[in-house]
Parts: sequence; C-alpha cells; structure tokens
Amino acid sequence: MVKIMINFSNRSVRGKIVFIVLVTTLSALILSSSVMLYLILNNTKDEAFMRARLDGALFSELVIPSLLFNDKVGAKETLSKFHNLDRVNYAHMFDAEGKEFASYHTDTDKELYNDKMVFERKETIEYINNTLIVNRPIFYQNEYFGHLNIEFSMKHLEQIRIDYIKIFILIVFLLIAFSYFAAQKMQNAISIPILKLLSYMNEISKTGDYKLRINKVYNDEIGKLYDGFDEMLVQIQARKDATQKAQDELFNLNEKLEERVESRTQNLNDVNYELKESIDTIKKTQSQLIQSEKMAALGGLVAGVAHEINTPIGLSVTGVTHLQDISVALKKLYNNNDMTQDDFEDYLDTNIQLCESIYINLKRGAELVASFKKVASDQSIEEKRSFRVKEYLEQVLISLRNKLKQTKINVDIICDDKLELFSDAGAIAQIITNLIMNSLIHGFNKGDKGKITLTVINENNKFIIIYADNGKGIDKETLPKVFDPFFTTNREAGGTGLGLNIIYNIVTSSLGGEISVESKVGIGTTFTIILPTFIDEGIMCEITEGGKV
Amino acid sequence: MIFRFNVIFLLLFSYAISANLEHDPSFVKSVYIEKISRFLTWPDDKEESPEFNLCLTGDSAVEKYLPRLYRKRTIKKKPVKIIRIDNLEDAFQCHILYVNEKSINKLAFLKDYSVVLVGNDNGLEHKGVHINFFDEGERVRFWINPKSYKGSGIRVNHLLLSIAKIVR
Repeated sequence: MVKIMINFSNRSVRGKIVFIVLVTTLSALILSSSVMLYLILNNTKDEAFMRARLDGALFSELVIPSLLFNDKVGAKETLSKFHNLDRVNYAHMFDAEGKEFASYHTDTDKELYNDKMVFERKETIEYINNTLIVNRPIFYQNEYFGHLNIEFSMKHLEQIRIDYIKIFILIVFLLIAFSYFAAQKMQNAISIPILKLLSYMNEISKTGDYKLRINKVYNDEIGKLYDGFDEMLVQIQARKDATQKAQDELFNLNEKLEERVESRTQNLNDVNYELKESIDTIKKTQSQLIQSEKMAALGGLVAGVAHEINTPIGLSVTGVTHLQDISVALKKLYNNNDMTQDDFEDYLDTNIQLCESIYINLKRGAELVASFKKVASDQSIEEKRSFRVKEYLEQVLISLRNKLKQTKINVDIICDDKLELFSDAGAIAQIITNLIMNSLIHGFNKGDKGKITLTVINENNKFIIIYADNGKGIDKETLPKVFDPFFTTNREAGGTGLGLNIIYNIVTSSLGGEISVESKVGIGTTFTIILPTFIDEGIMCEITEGGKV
Repeated sequence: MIFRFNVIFLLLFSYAISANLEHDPSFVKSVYIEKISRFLTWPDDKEESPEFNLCLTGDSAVEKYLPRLYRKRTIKKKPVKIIRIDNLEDAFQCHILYVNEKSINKLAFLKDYSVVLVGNDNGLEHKGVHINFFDEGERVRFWINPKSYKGSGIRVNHLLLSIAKIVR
C-alpha cells in the first residue's frame, strides 16, 4: 500500500489527473450502477410480485360469476386467458368446498386435483426456485366462493439481470474511454500552463533575471497563478536589491567593526601586558615577602641562639679575663721574686678550674652553634636528606627556646626515637617553627598557660604530623581563610598573613602532601599534615609521655 | 399496462356460461335471478326496503319454481316476496319484474323507474327488457342491454357484464 502511494506520489501531474479521473469515474460508476442494478432488480422483483398479486386479484374477481353461476366452461375460458401471460405456469381454481373447479396449465399432461383442498382464506405468496405461487381466496360481497392458485415463472428476472449486467459492462467501457479522453483534455488544460511556468522558472534560475514576466492568456486560476508568479518575481527583485543594499551596509559595518576590534585588541593586549607585569610584581613581592619571612625566622633563630650562646661565651670571657689577671699578677710576683710556692700552687689550682670552666662553657657554645648551624643551613638550603625526626624536631625547638621561655607554653613531641624521614628537613623545620610561632602569637594571650603537642606517626606509608594546641581556637568565619595569602588578624602588629600560606605551599607543592585544619573556639586548633615520603617504612611512632623539650 | 390490456381483452371477450342443465332451464333461470341480483344495485329507497319484491306478470315458466325456491332463501339478505302483478301500475314496488312478450309493450312507463325487467323471450332485449334469458345449447345465458338502464337509477356490476351478452 505504501509502495503504491509512493509510486502515485512520484507520478506526473498529468498521470495523477488521468488516474484520479479514471478511478473516480469508475468508482462512481460501479457504485451508482451497483446501487441502480440492485434497485432495478429489486424493483423488478417487487413489480413482478405486484403484477402477480394484481393478476391474482383480477382473475379471482373475473371468475366470480363463473363460480356463482356454476359455469365451469366459462371459468376455463377465463383461466385460458393466462395463455396471453406467458409467465403463468399453471392456474387452478377451486370452489368453496375445495374441489377443483377449473384449471389452466402449460403442461397438458398435468393431472387435475381429485381431492378436496383446504386453503387458508387469505392471500399467500411464495417465491420458490424462480417461481412465484399466489394463493388467493375468491370473495364476493364478503362471501367465500373458492380459491385461485396461480404459479408464475420468474425466469425473466434472471434474464433481466443478465441484460442489465451486459448493459452495465458496455457502459463501463464506454465511460472509461470517455473519461480517459476527458482526463487527457483536462490535464492538457492544467499541465501545459504549468510546464510553461516551469520553463520560465528554469530560465530564471539559469539566468538569475528576475525581470522576466509571464503574460497570461486567460483570467482563470492559471492566469492568477501567473499573476502571482510575476508578483513574486517583483518582490524577489525588490528583496534582492534590498539584500544587496544591506550587504553593502554590512560590509561597511564589518570594516568598521574590524577596526574597532583591532583597536580593542590592542588595548586589551596593553592591559594584559600591564596585568602580567602586575602579576610578576606581585609574585616578586610575594617571593620577597616569603624571603623576608624566612629571613625573619632565621633572624629569630639567630637571636635565640645568640642569646643561648651568650652565657657560656660570657662565662668563658670572664674566666679567661680572670686567668689573665691572675697570670699577670703571678708574673709580677715572679718578676719581683716575690712569688711564693703557695702563690704558684694557688695559681695553678685557679688556672685549672678556670680552664675547666672555660672549656665547659666553650663546649656548650660550640654545641649550640652546631645545632644552630644545622637548623639554619637546612632553612637556607632546600635539599632532601635522611634524618631522625624526633631529634631534629628537638633541635628546632632549641632554636625557639628563647621565645618559649618568655611564655608558659609547653611543647611535647610524641614520636618514635628511631623514626627517620627522607625529606626536606629545612621545610619541616620551617613548618614547625611557623606553626609554633603562629600559636604563640595568635593562639594564646600573653601569660596564658598552654600546651602544644606534636604527634608524629607512620601509618599506611604516610608520614603524619598532628600539631595541636589548646589555645583560643579559630572562629568559623576565619577558619576557611587561614591558608589564604596575606590573610591576617594581626596586621596592626606587623603580621604579613603569609605564615600559614607558606606552610600550605610547602606542604602541598614542595613536599607533595596535604594539610588540613580543625578548630573550636576555646578548645584549640589542630593541624594535620600528611606527607607521602618515608625512609624507614614500617616503624610506627610510639606515643610516649610527652617530655618537655 | 398489461393489467389494462387484460381487462380490456377480457371485457371484449364474451363468456359462455355453462349452467347445470340437470335441472329444468326455468328452474335454472329462477336460481339465476338471485345470482344476478347480487351484481345489481337499486336506489336507496329500494335497497333499504325490508323485503325483496320479486314480481311476475303474464305467464312464465319460472312461476312454478319461484315461490318454492325463495320461500326460505333470501335475495340480497332480504326475505323474498313473490308478487303477482295484475295491475301494472303496482309494478313500481318491484325490484325485479319478470315479463313476457305480451306484457312488455305495456310497461314502457317503467323506463325511468328502478324496476329490473327480466324476460325469457327471443328479442325482448331490444324492447326495453334489462335482462333477457336465452338457451345456448344446454347452457342458459342472458342478454344485458346497458341502454335500458339509463334513467332507472340501477347500477350493474361489470362482472355481470363479463358473462352476459351485451346488446350493442
């Protein structure tokens, strides 16, 4: 069905018109003829029925006098008139008692009815095998005189049906021929003007000449189509002109736009350049600030260590000076020959004691310098090395001892003594130093007692430093910003806002680890640093009772 | 069309009436009087009369059968009164008056009255008798003269005409 529809759709207009006209004509003809044939045959049958009834009624009336006057000859003569109606096969007439009174039949050998017949006293009609049997009672003035039984042949109906079908087929062929001729004529009236229009369209599409016009011949629908086509050409030409004009304007606008874009691009490049310079400046400033911060830390370290070594050196100087004094005094006695043995022995005893004291103090100073040297060199040189974590952290705390001494803050280190780490020790020192200084500056008020716990553990191939103080804590608004660069709550006191940012950068960039912070106001702050690198895998940090460093 | 043709054909065709000749033709004619009456319609005054007046004038062979035949039988559902008409002026009351050749000449005055004249003699159908019996072999038949009914107010059923001989 779909294929048929597609085939039909692809047909030419000419083919479609012819097809539609033929199909329509044929359909209408078949439908109307079928209905007509049905009605005619029905009507013919009804008419035959009616004629049979009328003939029955007529003859049943005509035979009344014969029955009344007992005239069988007359009755037979009356029935013989059925001979003129060649449709009657037979007719039997019975008297009121049911005895056959007279009859007519084409079959001369047919026997008469000898028995009495009993009839219903009403008209009945039966249609059996192309025959119509009419049974009609004979009444006159409401008195029953007998019965008339007539059989009509209905074979002529079949002949009529055949005749009508022959005529119908003939008409169908004639009408198909006529319809085909009419459809051809009709499609010429439509397709030729359309083909003319198509020819014009092809020419216009080839030449692009929209000034061509089709001159109509008739003022019919095709003529109106031509008018519409011409009007369309006028409008296309007008639109083409308008489009050309708009294109020209657009071209000019584009040119101006390009100039503006170029100008803006230049401006943007300039701004970008300035921005880049600003960023570079900021980076330099940031680097300088970081360096300053580092130097400040180093300065603090130097100050702390200097303070520490000041005492042993001072004591050594005092001892040496005293040794010099007693040596000069002894020499004077010797030169004057006043030196006694006791003097010399006292000198020697004092000398030995002073030398011992000087040695002890200088040794202490040397130890402090060595410690300082290690921490300071780590902070100035970014180099990875293997070191024992607890020992190193204790050395870092030494550098901060001067600061811690001024507070009531205790620092506990909880870590396995043997735990070693291969990493940038200076970076670790800077992280711990900054965290402790951050706690001392921001976490506690001056004079507050407090505690800082450094817990270092090795867990699942990860080096974890948990730094916790029990200071004031950080409020919820501030907490998300603590790692932001230049964020500080203590700018008036010289805070740069780079301490925690530096820690964040060192942990995440230099060491490739993670850092997070948790804090509750009034409870304290905890930083958790997770570093990936280990030198001594498998050794777990043991939690020891925190000894004060 | 065929129906009309049949009617015309049948009307134009004259019927021969076969009668039961086992009886005396006069008896048959006496019986026919009742049957013929069925196809005749008299004016209202006579149709509404309580009795059917069957009259006789002059000598007639049927006279001997009529009283016996219609003593209990009816004509047009009315009891039959057999009247012997001696004074012709009394003939107005009759529905049917059985006449003979001698009396017909005196009955011209009944021409415009509703009395059906029935005869039994040859040629009476041309002399004003409405119905005139005749014998055709063994059959009893009758003439009807339609012209004689004009002015009488009597109507004749066409079926009666179909079995009668019509006077032209």
